[in-house]
Amino acid sequence: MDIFLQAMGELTRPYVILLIFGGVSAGLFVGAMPGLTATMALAVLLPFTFTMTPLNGLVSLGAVYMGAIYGGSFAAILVNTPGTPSSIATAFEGYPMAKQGRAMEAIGIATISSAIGGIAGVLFLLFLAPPLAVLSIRFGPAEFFWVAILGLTLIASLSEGSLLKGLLGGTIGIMLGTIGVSPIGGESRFTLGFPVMQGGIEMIVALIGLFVMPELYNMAALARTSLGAVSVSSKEKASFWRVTLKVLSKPGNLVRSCIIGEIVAIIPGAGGNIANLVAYNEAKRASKHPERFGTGTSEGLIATESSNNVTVAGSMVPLLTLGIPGAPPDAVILGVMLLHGLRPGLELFTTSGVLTYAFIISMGLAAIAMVPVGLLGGRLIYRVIFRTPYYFLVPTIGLATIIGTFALRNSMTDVFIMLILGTIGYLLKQIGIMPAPIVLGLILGAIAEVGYVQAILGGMAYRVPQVRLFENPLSWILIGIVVVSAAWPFILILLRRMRSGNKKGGAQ
Amino acid sequence: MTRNINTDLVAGTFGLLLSFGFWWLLDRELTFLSIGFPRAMIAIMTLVSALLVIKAFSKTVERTDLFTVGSNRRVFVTGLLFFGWAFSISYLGFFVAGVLAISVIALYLALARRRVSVPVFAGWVLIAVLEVSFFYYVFTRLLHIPLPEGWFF
Amino acid sequence: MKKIVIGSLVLCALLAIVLVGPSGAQNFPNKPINYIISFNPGGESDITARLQQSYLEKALGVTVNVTHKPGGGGAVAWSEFQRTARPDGYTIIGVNIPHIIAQPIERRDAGYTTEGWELLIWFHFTPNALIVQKESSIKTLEDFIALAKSKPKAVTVAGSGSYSANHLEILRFNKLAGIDTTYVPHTGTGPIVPALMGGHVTSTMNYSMVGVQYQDRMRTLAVATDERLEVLPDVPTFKELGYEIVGGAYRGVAVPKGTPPEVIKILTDAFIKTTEQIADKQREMGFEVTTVTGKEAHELVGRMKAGYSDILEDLAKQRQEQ
Repeated sequence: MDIFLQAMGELTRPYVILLIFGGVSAGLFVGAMPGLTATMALAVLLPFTFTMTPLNGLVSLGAVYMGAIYGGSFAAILVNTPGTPSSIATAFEGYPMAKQGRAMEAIGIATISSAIGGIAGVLFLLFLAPPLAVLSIRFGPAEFFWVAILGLTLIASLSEGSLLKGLLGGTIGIMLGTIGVSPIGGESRFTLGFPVMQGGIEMIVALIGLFVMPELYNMAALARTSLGAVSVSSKEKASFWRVTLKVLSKPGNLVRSCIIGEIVAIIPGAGGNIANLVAYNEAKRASKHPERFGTGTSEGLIATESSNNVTVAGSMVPLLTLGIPGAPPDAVILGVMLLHGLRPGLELFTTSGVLTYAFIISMGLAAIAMVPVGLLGGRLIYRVIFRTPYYFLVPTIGLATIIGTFALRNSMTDVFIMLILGTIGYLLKQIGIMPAPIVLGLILGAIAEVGYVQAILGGMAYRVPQVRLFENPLSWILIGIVVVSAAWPFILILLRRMRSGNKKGGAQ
Repeated sequence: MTRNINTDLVAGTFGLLLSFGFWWLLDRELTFLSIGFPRAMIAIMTLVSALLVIKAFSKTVERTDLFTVGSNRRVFVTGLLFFGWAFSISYLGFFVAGVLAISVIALYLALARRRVSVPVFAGWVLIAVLEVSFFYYVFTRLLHIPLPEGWFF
Repeated sequence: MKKIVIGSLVLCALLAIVLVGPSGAQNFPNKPINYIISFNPGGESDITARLQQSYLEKALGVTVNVTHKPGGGGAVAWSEFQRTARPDGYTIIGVNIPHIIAQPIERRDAGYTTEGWELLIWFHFTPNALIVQKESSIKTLEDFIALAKSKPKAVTVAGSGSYSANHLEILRFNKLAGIDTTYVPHTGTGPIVPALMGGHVTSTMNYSMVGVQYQDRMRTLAVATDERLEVLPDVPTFKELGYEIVGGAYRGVAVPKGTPPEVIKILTDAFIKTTEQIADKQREMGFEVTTVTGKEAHELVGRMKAGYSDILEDLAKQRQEQ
């Protein structure tokens, strides 16, 4: 118990509080900028942490991470482009709300949900780390494969419109992901002889291209932005108390989304990217009015923004206990820890206990800090964007995306890929193939391939290696979820027919 | 193009062409580790595309009016301007290319709705310089990420 | 009119001096140096470069910028470097063995050649090591071989990448020990740790560093060095147990072909100094520090290439048979 008190004591120093607020603000800015991501922010911050004490360095990283995942919602809500991949689904509900003039309300909901999610993640980490860590390493190649398949079934329910077109988009994304060196086998695929194509298509580049460029083209076509002016009634609804009440009024949604966020977080390699989509899907399924999703429901927004912030602290469960990064930004944090001689494992919680607990608790404080920073910053950002004429917005966002794309791998080729994918994405959107399934395919295709091939290799001694995919009980659970998820639309139709059948029967 | 287009047909045909393209480009010499997955996915893409084409001739066909939103010419020119921007970066350097591109794009898009006088445009160029300077400073000085240089800097 | 002409000529002359002047080799270095790492931030190549950064800056007197250009297992950066980097000493790149040996052989579009640059130095070496879980029933290398012999293809060995140090080493070992294990490539060292801890693979041929870092949960069966490692005194070498296996990953730095010899000397000296200064920290992390420079650096590459040649030939034959 006194480790906790000591840890809290470390955090009351003014410099640390400054770092937390500064980190959250910087993270917010990075996350809100389409083109800059949380992982990038941490990688860039890395050298600066060398001059800091271990605690200060880790606190800064944690704060920036937390802020960045939250910040992604701003771009999603205001410009229909996810600022980070963790906010893809935020755009589904947030942007329609902004178009209706409810942008402030959306930002408010996103803020409170993110804060609650962040705190939930910290609590999971503090109290449930050991059992969650054990669960985390149960995920082997076969399980990764099924998780990826599960992710792909989300395409089915997330497709606004035609299921077939969604699937086509998904397969396009998967094939785009195969370009480059194969993850297993190390051989070049589809590179057309260009050495630079060995690097393939980076997910963020595709995300930016497919989401941002069509929005820019849209603004160019219409010669105006789509942001609706905030009405008086909406401003009232965006007040701190009203928003908090709204978020807390649906505890079931919150709890479910946070749990989903945590489970996805402990799967090594997955993270906010996938968590927000799964949580959104589940919120839609559990809702009494699933048809309203996509028009600006607060339920969907709460689900995505709370789940993705859970992953910040949540994905550190395997990191701190076993040294396994649960999400991409964790790799940077692991690097920093190793550099300062902090080895993950039991001694982190005993010998370096004060440091570790202080770090964990600091992330909770960062989550709380997001509220004032976000609400104030949100108002500011909204006003700036609303007042900026479309003819400046387009090139300025273009500037941010070009820089962000370039800075990712120091590659102008990536910038061209981004522009090309963006233009193609705009055209595809016209014929009904939406960007979200394509990006999902890109992310999940790689995970599915690696899982599948590694599982097969593990089963080389069997007559039919594919059996390996069905060996583990954890696989069975996942397969079950996949089947239910894929069949859900059809189950719904069946249920509706049964219900109307009963009514007829009753009337007789 | 404001004709009513059968989007299922267009999407399906596009998918079939893409599948064929990937199938043709697939290196037959790859080991089984690298070839299995793409082959399976190409097969699925072909299947989905074929289903779309079939659906295109069925009752549930989707038809929409394409490219009816706003000015298509503006979209096209904006696209050209963006590509031009990217091309010019390696020659003019990030800074100059950025200022030039922002000014030109802003001018082009603004002319759709308003007049732009020379002093107003000069003001915009100044804003562009400020914007690019901000990013340039943050990335090269603060973050130590070098941005492409060209003839000038 | 005359004034304009003279004025422009003067301006041109000034510009020429400004743009061309100070980059002469005499006062190298006088502007920041770009140190390219062809892998992701947070990885081992990156962490090492960051460690070196401040010492390099002190030794050279200018800022050293570490930039990342990941892609294709390093090939994207290496191919672009050989194609476009200027031989003025202001752009240097991290290189890795066996990647730069294996990739140009195995891939048609790697885009670069093993000898297409000037190697400055190989500054550290992570030896390969065969590692299993602590709870595993395999206690010694002999147990491992016995198990592999009794169940062909069933014993899985995780490793980082394909045609990497890990991969080539286990192939060599398979041949020498007469066993048939299944190599399971992973996308880096990171994913191997949970795979092993969760029992999804039997063992891993990875770097001794991992054995050191996770000592309490993993058991290192053997290391691929000439002599036992100080950090793992109880772990035998493959050599002691009768298997001539010495290998691992080397990391080093290269400059473009045609860089002036004085510049090469300045950079090499700076790296030698830096390597000495960070030697202790590197050893703590599990690396073996080396300073193989100049001609010897090229010879090392030649030796490694020869050492792996029979395995690489086998792989090429396998592919043709497919």
